[in-house]
Amino acid sequence: MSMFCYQCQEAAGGKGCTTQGVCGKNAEVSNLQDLLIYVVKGIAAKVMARKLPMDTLVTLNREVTTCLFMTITNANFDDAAIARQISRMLTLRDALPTSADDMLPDAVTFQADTLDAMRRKATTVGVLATGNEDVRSLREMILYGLKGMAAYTEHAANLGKEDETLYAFFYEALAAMLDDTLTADALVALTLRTGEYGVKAMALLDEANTSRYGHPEITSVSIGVRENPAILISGHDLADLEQLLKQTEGTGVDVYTHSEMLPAHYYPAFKKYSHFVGNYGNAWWKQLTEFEAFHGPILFTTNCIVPPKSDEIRSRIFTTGSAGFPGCRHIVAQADGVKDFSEMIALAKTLPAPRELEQGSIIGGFAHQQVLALADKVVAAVQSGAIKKFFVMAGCDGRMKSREYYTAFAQALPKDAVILTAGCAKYRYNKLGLGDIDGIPRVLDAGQCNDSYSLALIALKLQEVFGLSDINDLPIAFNIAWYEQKAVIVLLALLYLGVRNIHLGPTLPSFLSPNVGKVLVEKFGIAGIGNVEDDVELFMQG
Amino acid sequence: MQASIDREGCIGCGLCADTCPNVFRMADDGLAEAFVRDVPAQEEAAAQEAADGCPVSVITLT
Repeated sequence: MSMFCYQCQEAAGGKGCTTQGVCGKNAEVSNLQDLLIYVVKGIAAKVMARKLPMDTLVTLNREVTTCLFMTITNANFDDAAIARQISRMLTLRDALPTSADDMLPDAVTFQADTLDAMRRKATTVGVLATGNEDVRSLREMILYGLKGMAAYTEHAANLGKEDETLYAFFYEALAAMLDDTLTADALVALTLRTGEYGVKAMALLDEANTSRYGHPEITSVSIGVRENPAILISGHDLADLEQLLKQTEGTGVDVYTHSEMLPAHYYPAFKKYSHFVGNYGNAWWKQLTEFEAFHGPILFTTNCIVPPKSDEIRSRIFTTGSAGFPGCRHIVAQADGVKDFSEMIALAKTLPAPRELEQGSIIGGFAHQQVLALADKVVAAVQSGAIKKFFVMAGCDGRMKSREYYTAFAQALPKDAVILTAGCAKYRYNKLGLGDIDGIPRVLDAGQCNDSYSLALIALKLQEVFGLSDINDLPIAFNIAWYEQKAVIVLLALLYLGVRNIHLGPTLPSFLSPNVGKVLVEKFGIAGIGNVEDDVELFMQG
Repeated sequence: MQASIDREGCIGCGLCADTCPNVFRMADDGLAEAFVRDVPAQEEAAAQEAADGCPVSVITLT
């Protein structure tokens, strides 16, 4: 075994990737990611031991967030960038104050000055270094939740919104992972607290996005193409998008969104850019063929990158932020925060316009404020029986054929059911033309995966309007699709908010040990998915 | 169309068997195998999808 990673839904054989990641990362990248996480745990132990105040750790807070984010599935495949980050974090770690009385674990004291030393150390500190499979399972579930939180925290920070309590929780939880005295019960409690901070992180990002760009509103987004050369932007970072739109304005280069960037079109502030044309293609995993047809440069502001198979496509891919891929140009912000996209724009001008994949448009923008503005209509439709049930089908899309379940499920739902969605899971059913109920579309897209927060707010509002004491008494069912760690934090956030009986698919996480899985089933009613017909019947009864 | 897998490089992820179960399956050693040599015409698109989606590019269609 040259690596071990089971953080995503596509873990090899449903158990874990041991020679190369299904995501495409090689053992070197995977192992260096393990070491990066280990260094960060050591930093957390030091911060906790000295009770260092968050406001004295400004640089460190951001760097720790970046480290967690870099190790998310499909974000950074660049071994050299990860090795550099390890060196940087070791320096930051060793600069933190300490005292002779502190009991310092290995993660605080070890040194790895060379790449070889990093490689040697990395093989001893990965997932399997925790022997007890239940403790390992809980530690990893918390870690993956933190990674998802870190993504949201970094996007918010890029827009100038930070919350020190989130950083404090990162340190607390990361340090707890080095504590072999913690019981399984204590780790279960910490898992739920991770969900609590996940809600905070999503709320912070919601505030960051909406305070800068306005509240998402109902929007029809073109899925066709124009005849101009163009840049495709993927990932989740709206601050990067804003800079790209400003720099491309008036250049004759159009901008299209891909996958998780689609919801950017729903924000009022981006509507003034006439060259912000529409959305191109589908969910992340289709990028290998869609990028070929796009012809122009592609900017990844975060995951999900699929390793490009041709040099031609690789030459058109640019990364920024926590994303990275060897051989692709990485754009770093200047001291004033400006990212210079001129090389991409110049390249775009030399390339043909995108090839048309489809025509027409899709509708979205049903985040919390827009839905609450329609609350009277929604409530009336529920009271009249026109809407019988809401289905939250948020989450991720992925490669597995078994995800065709979600398309079939959406099609099989009774006509008086409405789907609430967020994240790239939507691509399984957002072009089906499922119609509307009294003017309310049957697929309501709130936005990116973090906008699951919007769906939670909507549920809480409906609970209030209908005077229910328990959120689970609402006519809302949860059939969530997951792939990577942002979906893990969304799940933990929903559990923290008291949502029960969530169905999770297409398969349950490999990182759940049988015992931890049992706790989730018994305590929270988590279940997998079955066949479409039985599941629709089960949900409509419940 | 014929399908073959370079099993030396297979990582046993199961994506091909999931994508095109009438041509590929997971063998007892945990690695994938093409259990029909000639890909039926109606499976060609799925076999191609499996080959394109293979994270280690070990599926060959000729």
